[in-house]
Amino acid sequence: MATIETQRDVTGEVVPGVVVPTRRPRWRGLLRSRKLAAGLAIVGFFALVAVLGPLLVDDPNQVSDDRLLAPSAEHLLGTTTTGQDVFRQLVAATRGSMLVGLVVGLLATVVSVLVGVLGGYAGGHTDESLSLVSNVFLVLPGLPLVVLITDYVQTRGALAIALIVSFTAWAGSARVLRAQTLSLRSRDYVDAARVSGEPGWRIVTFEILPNLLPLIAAQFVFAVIGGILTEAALAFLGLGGAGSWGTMLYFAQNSQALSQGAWWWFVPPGLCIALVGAGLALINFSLDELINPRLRVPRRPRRTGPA
Amino acid sequence: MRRTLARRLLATLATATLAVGVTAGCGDDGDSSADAEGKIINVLSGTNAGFVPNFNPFSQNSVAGTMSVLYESLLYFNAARADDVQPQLATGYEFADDGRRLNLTIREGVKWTDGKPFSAEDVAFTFNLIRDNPKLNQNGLPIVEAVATDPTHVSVTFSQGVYTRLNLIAGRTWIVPKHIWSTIADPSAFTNEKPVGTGAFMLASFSQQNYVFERNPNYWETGKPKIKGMRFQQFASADSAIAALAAGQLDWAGSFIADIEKQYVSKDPKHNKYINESQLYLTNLIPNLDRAPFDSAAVRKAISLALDRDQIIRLAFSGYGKEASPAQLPRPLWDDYIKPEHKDRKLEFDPARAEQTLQADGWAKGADGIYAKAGRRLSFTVKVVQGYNDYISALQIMTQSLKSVGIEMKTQEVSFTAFSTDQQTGDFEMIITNLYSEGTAYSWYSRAFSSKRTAPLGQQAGSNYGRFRNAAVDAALLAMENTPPDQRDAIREQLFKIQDVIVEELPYIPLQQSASLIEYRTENLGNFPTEENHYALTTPYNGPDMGIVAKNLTPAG
Repeated sequence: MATIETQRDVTGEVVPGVVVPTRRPRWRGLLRSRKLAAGLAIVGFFALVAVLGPLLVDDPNQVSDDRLLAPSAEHLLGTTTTGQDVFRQLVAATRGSMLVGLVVGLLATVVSVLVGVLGGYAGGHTDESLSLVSNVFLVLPGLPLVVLITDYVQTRGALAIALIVSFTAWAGSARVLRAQTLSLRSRDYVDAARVSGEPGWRIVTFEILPNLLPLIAAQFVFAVIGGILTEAALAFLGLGGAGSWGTMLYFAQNSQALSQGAWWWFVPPGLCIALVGAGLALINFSLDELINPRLRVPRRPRRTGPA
Repeated sequence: MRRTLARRLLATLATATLAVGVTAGCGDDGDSSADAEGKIINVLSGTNAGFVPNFNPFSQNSVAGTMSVLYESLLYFNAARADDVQPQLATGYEFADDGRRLNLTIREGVKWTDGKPFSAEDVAFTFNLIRDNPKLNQNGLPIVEAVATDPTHVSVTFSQGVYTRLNLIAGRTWIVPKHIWSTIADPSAFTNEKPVGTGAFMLASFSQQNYVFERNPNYWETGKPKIKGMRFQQFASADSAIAALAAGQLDWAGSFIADIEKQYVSKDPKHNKYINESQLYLTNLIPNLDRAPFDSAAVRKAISLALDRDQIIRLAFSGYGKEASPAQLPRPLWDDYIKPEHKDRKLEFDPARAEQTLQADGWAKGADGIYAKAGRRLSFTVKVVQGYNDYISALQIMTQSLKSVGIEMKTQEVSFTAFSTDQQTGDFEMIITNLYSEGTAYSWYSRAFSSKRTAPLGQQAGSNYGRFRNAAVDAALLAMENTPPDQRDAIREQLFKIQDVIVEELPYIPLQQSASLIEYRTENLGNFPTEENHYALTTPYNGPDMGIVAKNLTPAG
């Protein structure tokens, strides 16, 4: 058991503002987090469904005359007004939603790291102009803008939607990363590296980035949640294209599932969105605790038992 | 809001017919009891963003009722019955000069709602106003000049024959008072918040949530209207509108309801009535005839034979659509104008014959189960507007049916803007869209099949997006343009010639006559149009029919 090490770690070897160049002990605390385990389990489950699910179920678009049936053994989650199987649609939609979330997460993170870290480290005019750009993106009303762009894009698949959503999703993270980079780059060890003649790219890559890693991971998770939710909102407005949970909700809404009492059509996709959101949020909380020790609740060592 | 309504709204922006979407929640302030004076009836209308005051009858954005309830036309052309024309502000008309001059006799004794007398001067002024302000001329009337020869006669001259456009000139031109509109600097931007018209009702109050029309006590048609007034309401969503309908809070609405018997009629079977006005639109698959493989009639026929329209209507269109005629005219409205031998022809569903048709045309099934000819697989993509979920469902059904006879159909969802551009420039293999008319049998065919209304690929087509060109059809259309509208047999003869061509060629693939559900409650009201007494189209939209229905409604009992 790593109890003692972890204890020591938790109780504040890491004080805000003090840099810990060696990162390993911090990650160890993470592994014991129940929040993280729960989050990972939920997200992992949906990721698995997204990857394997569509291979295991039949054509989700298959229509039939079994219209608007309640859940049964034959149709686990009932059917739609066109006699399509809701369970199959849900599985197919999982892939769409998760894919958009993943791509948005990756793209937004890459852009925000480039803009935030480079700007923060380079300083001067580069920093000024990069933060001007991200400030502009920050005040842009995200969803209306995305709605506008989406309407202009001729053909929308999951990737196109993800690109559009990423377009407005990176600015917040870029600012957070820039702030942290600014604080890191004036630290002694970075100064030391600079004085000893290390090139800029090396300082960024090996001295600064590793210390930003938990933060970047948290921003990534945050962007994934944002991506999934924004895509669902777009799809619900009829601007989807990914074949996602939002698309299912849109079709249910337009077919008046609610007033016809067909709860099995809109509750499952809604629940999936909520669950994945919760799972990702749990992961994010545990990352937050790692980044900000003040959020950490010291866990009692198991050996001592209840106090 | 259901996308069908939105789509109609967009589709009809091009013409003067302005359908209106369902809408936004507003309180109800009672007044549902009939009294000796009649009743203020509650009408579902408006936009879901709050009403914006605009009573300009020439504006696409005017609120429902502006056209025909507040402002009137010269004649009323019943959109529910062919050849039913009723005098309104004009009592008679005659064409002269080969259809380039229209002489109108104007009704006497009509007053504007501000008390000033109405005369032929106002009519002449209105036509000249439209001529001088192209933005008001939404029907593109080629007006040269309108002159009031005396207080009850107007003569309007045109730069070309207008025999086929009488319904636009006399039926969809809203007459406005000269003494008000002559002082308006920019009539197209005028929102006309204190409307003065000749209609059976006048504006009583307006707010973002609702607006009220009250009876015009000096209306020219004696004894009408019989109801006290109309209150236009809006709801936040289709669901809340349906709830209000089911609760008996609305007397008249044009709202799509997925299962109308269960969700609406069953709540009060005695009073909750509805009518399915399915004569307004034809839903079609429109292939691009300038592109292979749709230049082959055999391919078009094979696709048509492979489609189970009953199933498409039942599953994708909630069972409300009606069978479409291969003559491409809505029935029963235009039955008198369909050649008897084509009238009862059906678009058959026969997958075996679909395959035979392809084989006879030289197609052979490939290893992947899809037909091919000269190395080209029979595979194509249908463009559909993103979010039009009934079309998308219909395409999913068709994809399956076509696959089973060896034809591969794919669907591409595009934005509305892109769709409009692509259909005009011909950047598509096939589209799914509604065809509609400007109120005459002639215009059904002219819009869809006239080579004058198409263009080469890459250039903008007016309304013949499929790029159909046929000399016999063009000749028949031209002949109709030169035939006065009262010579019905001569017009019929030309229509029959067109039908012979399109029934044989099947340029487009009709799917259904689209439904427009209209709900009305008979608890407090009587004399709504019915299938038997279809004196007007029942639609509570901004168009010629609404005012006719409104002034003919009676308090029940």
